[in-house]
Amino acid sequence: MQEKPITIANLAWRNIQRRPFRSCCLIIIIMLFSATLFGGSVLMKNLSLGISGMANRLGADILVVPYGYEKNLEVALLRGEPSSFYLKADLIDKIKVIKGVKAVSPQLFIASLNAGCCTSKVQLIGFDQQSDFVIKPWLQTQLNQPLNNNQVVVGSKITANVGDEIKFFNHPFKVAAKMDSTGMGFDTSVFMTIPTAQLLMKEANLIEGDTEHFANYVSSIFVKVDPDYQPKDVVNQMMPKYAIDYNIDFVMTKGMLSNISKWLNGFSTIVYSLSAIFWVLAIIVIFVIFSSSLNERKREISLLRILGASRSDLVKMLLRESLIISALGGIAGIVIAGVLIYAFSLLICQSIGLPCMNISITDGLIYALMVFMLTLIIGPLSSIYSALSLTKFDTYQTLREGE
Amino acid sequence: MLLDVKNLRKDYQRGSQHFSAVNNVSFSMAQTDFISIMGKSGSGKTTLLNMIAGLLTPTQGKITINGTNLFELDDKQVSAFRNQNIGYIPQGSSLLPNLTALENIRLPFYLTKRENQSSLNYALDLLEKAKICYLKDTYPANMSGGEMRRIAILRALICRPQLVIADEPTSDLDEESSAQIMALLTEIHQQGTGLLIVTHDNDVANYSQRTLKMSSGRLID
Amino acid sequence: MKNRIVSSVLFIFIGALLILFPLYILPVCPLPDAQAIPATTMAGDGHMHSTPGKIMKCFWTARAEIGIGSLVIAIGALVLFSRSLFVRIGLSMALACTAVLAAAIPTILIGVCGNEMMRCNMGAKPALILLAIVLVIAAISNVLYLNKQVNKQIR
Repeated sequence: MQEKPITIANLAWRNIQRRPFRSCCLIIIIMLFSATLFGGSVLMKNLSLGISGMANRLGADILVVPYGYEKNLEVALLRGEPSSFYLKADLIDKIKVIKGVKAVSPQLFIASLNAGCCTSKVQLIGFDQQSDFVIKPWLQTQLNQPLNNNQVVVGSKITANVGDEIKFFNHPFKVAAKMDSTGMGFDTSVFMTIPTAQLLMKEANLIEGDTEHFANYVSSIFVKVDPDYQPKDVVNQMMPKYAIDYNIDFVMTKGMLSNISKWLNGFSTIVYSLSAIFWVLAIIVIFVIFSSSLNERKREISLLRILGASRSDLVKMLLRESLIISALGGIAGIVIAGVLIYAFSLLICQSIGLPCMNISITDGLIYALMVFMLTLIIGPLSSIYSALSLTKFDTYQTLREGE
Repeated sequence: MLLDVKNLRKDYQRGSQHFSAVNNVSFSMAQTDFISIMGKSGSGKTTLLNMIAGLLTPTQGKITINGTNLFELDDKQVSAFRNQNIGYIPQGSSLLPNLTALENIRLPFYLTKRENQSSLNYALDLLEKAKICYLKDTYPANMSGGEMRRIAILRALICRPQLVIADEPTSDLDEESSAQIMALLTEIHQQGTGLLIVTHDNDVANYSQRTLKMSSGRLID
Repeated sequence: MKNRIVSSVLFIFIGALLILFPLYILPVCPLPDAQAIPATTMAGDGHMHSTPGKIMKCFWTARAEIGIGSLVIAIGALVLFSRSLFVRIGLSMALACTAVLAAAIPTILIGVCGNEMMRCNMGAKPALILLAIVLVIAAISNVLYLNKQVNKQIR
């Protein structure tokens, strides 16, 4: 038979085991707190990583779109929901000469055929390789030669690798390069030369009417502004001259990003408030439950005293009980939230509609540790009052009462 | 002298009145003594016992056990002293419900820090001597009153104390169980442990060498 | 008695979720509108658009999980009515193996659409794998617990 000492630690653990239902309820309440805080903060970090990644590498300060299609462009960029819209291409040269404009690059958006779900949303984008400053920063390996009309660059989530062949509208293309994960709509986009894109548009009958003049149209013009100039000023120059003639609108990426940041702040307020509420709730509930249960255990505690346990031993035992419960609840909450977020990260990001990137494991562990520490505090904090008051009483009185 | 009690007094307040549960009690006990204290309920016997065990602080007086004055010690020291030198058998059912009989017996051993000693063999020994080995893995919920009481007695012995104190050891028990309990206690005394019991039962008191009678907090002859 | 109720309710619940998740809660890709030509499994790699009329792999995964979920429910119900500890231990072991099967269907045996961004890949697949893991843990815990009960009874 094993020699297992019956220490205060063992007693604490046994007391928890003896009341499985009560212990489970307490653990669940604590789990709510730790899951909310951990899950919420990991999610927020994912979102902010995605957004800062986007901000760093977007490259463009102003996006020129056809009037009314502002939202479409935002959605195409952030979520990759494809759309098609067009404006006249000769605007490009006109923008080039505006003071403060550093670089201009057009892109042509084509939505792929939506036959059934599993085509999944693929945006075909024609871009001008020479003037491009939007795609280049994201390429994993730089293109040695300019794309020819049979090559494409694919986003990180497209299931094809460099050298593979993929087909669009029955046209075969070879994958020349693959992009880094951007967290944005680019991940599910395929990039080709503008002439190729225009060819596809023609063949697939994507635009009715004047098919001969495709060369005159692009979807959006990306403008990079000189660091010495304000994007707003450049827009103010473009607006009066061209807004009406070309029927265009402007999207300031800074504005787009600050809107997202505001949303993120709102979200973080919610997460932290909810966590704080759960934290306080956990403390209160544990306090109430512990105090009421300790009353039943008066006799047991006085027996331990009689057998020679000092008051501090008993306080330690009671605190240990609540510590174990907090630890279990904390671990359970962190593990569950972590597993759920990891398993469903793509789904969650898609539903929110914002770019997000997966948090690194180190950061994840740091968050987990911090949340765990906060959770550990709950138990002892809520039970210390009961523990101290209960061990203070007159042993004799308690014995008599228990008779 | 194993135990020396001098002018012990314990006052309580009931409402607005003071009353003495124990009033000027003095007596001594040697290592080889078996003493019983008799009295009606309310006579202060249990209060006296609890003070001797160091569980209650007297209002006045002195208790010395083996030369140690109990009230010079602080809570931690008294607890350790009690654990090592006194075996207390409380009234009624006093086993921890979520430990087996064997674990209950071994429990006091671990309440004080001891280096590397083992309690298992001695506990099994005790169970054998009391002829209740079959109870060792049973939980109190499945034991009779007499069996629980015997486990409580064995528990009082695990730290090899010099003084064993029992509060109404045969209360709630039938005649046969009472006799078994008293036989066990007598054997313990014969093996060299000082025994002090409190009872209101004459038959029980007859087992002891000396009987002190108590009434309204005082010792009477 | 308590163990029977708690464990069987848990198993039945998980079995029901195995059926409901791929169908309604986080559904797999819907059937194409045109007359469905039940084709054999389609290779998802490389092809970016499907021929109208082909049924996707994930559809078959959902069907298979209906079967597996029903099996889990049935075994869970049997657990409820089995008084013998040993029978329940055996049934729980069987459930653990069934759970492995439930996880293998959307991953190795049938699979789901290749593209990461498709619904089946983002939602149904991780859900099924998680449910399978929960079921394995529940089943094995039950086996261990019942085993302890058996040992207690022997003594």
